[in-house]
Amino acid sequence: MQLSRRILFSFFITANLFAAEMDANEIVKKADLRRGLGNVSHSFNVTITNQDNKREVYHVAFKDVNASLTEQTEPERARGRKILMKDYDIWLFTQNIKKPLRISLEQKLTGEVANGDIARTNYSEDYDAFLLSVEKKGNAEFYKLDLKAKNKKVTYGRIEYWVSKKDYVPMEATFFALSGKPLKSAQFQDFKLVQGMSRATKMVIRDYLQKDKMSTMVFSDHKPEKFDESLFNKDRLEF
Amino acid sequence: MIKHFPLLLSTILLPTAASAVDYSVRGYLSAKAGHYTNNKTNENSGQNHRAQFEQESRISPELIFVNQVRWSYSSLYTDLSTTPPTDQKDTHKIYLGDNYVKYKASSWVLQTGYQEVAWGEAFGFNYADIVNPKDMKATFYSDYSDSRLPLFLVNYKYFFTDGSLQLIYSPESKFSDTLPVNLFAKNVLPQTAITTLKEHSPDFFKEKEYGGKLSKSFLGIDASAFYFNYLDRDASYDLRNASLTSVTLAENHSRVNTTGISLASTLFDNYVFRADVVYTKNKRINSIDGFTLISTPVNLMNYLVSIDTPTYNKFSAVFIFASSQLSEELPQAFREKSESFSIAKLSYDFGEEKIFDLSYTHQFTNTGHGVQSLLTWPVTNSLDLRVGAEIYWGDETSQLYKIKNVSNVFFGIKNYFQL
Repeated sequence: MQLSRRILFSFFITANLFAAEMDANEIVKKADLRRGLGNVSHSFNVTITNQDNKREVYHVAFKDVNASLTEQTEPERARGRKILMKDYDIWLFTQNIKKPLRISLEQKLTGEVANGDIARTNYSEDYDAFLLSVEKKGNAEFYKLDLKAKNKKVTYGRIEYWVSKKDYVPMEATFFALSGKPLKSAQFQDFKLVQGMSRATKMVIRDYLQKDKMSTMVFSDHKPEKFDESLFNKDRLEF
Repeated sequence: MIKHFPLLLSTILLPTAASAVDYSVRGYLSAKAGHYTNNKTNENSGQNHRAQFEQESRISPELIFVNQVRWSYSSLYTDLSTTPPTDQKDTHKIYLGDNYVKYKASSWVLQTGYQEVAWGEAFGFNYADIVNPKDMKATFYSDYSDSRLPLFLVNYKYFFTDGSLQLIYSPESKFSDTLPVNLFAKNVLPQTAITTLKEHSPDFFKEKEYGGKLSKSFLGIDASAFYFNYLDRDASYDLRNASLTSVTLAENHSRVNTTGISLASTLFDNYVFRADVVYTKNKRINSIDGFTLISTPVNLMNYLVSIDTPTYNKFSAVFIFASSQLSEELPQAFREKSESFSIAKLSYDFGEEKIFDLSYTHQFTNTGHGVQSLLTWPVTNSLDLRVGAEIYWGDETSQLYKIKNVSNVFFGIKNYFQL
């Protein structure tokens, strides 16, 4: 009797611990807030520098997870290039073509940094999370999470994601294509106080196979902002 | 006074820059060396340079002034026909690019001045890109911004949920810089030197052009319908005088109206389908009736469908089918009643926007072929390199054979700056 009570007690404790730790989607949601302002209407800038010191600057108007507008301001050759993401439709505008051009979802993956890395950063909206394990590195403990795409339209097929157990700070991620092929890895760095919370302001992305190919994304000037609905109209891109 | 309206407009707009809240100057310089491979005498090699300077004055987030000046120089003969070169060599052109004032309200935009308006969803043959005149000599692997010539427009656009209504009005007609008529008339006027008298743009407000476009996106489809009433950007020709060895033709741009629809949709997540259907009424086409050059008004139906494929191992492709049909057969005409083309374009992405394009164009019926290749390489943040070649051949009656003298290899650089 004494033994079975003990077993029952330890089962209850273990089950509770797992229940607490298995709410993986909640972990991802909290980690999202450590990388951006979450699903609130806001704007921010992104500066991307690659291994050859080539620099690109973007201004992002983020209305919600279903509508964002990214405008490139540097270098000069690409100034005025815009990408509008609305639900799962994407349009590209360039000063040369002078009309909005519907592009495929896959073209989000062009280059080292996908457009989804810039403008669609809420993993909790696009992926179902599963807790794989709790791992220890030094004194710190991390959740190792497996994020599976909710549908084929999101940026990556799968993400392996490490989040600090203590404060839900995202540390590392490995991104996989829908085919399962590893594409790139990322580290989240430079945590600064942004709009009242410590958030990652730097993301270092490395190509999975060609490790010398590296891009550093620096996020800045986050500010809550309301936008006119027409800003996210594809026919307005030319203006 | 009205004749000098562009100059006047610039004079008014330029000083506003001084008081602008946000003022920037930018532009580019480009140089291109080309060798026309089909010219046996080797005389048609040379350079083509372009420059553009732009100032932008943002008085407020809503009110923006843009002024551009463009310059181009070509050491090439402008006549690419098989007749001895009679057209100019070493040509300079300075002209106004985009020069407009834009006011952006929350649900509408009004943009007035010289500007570019691009309609249609498809590429390859820009059948729906009807508003601006073009520099036809610049269309072969040039930027669209090099080939489109700005037009003075009052351009109003009203936005509603997932759509817009655009109304445009132009008080000044402008015409395309066409390829020499010799290229197209040679099969009907053999062994004749042809001189062409250009038609100049009518004065401001003498002719009016107007039209509009209604766009709406729904269920993953972008759809638009448009109409434009204007003077034909292409020329038809009237005979001025003729002898046994030479003829003089005068350009004529008749009034036409064009109606069309465009569609684009993403299919199976990673394919993009595009289509343009464009119908033009009363377009004049030249033909020879006995010894007389006549131009007959006919209706023209153009359509184009294309598919962008997904990327596989850094390769992507575009397949295009385009067709142009006249409403009636004209014997000894400058073009066939029915002309159909297919284009297959393959691109390889080296990363960081370094791209190699290879395309093959095939003309059906009167068989013609074209092969184009281009390497675009952004070497630094401000410098692009472009190396390419294009070659055209086929039956003597095919449109692609007629431009065989455009076949060339080229090397170019483009340098961007911002002050």
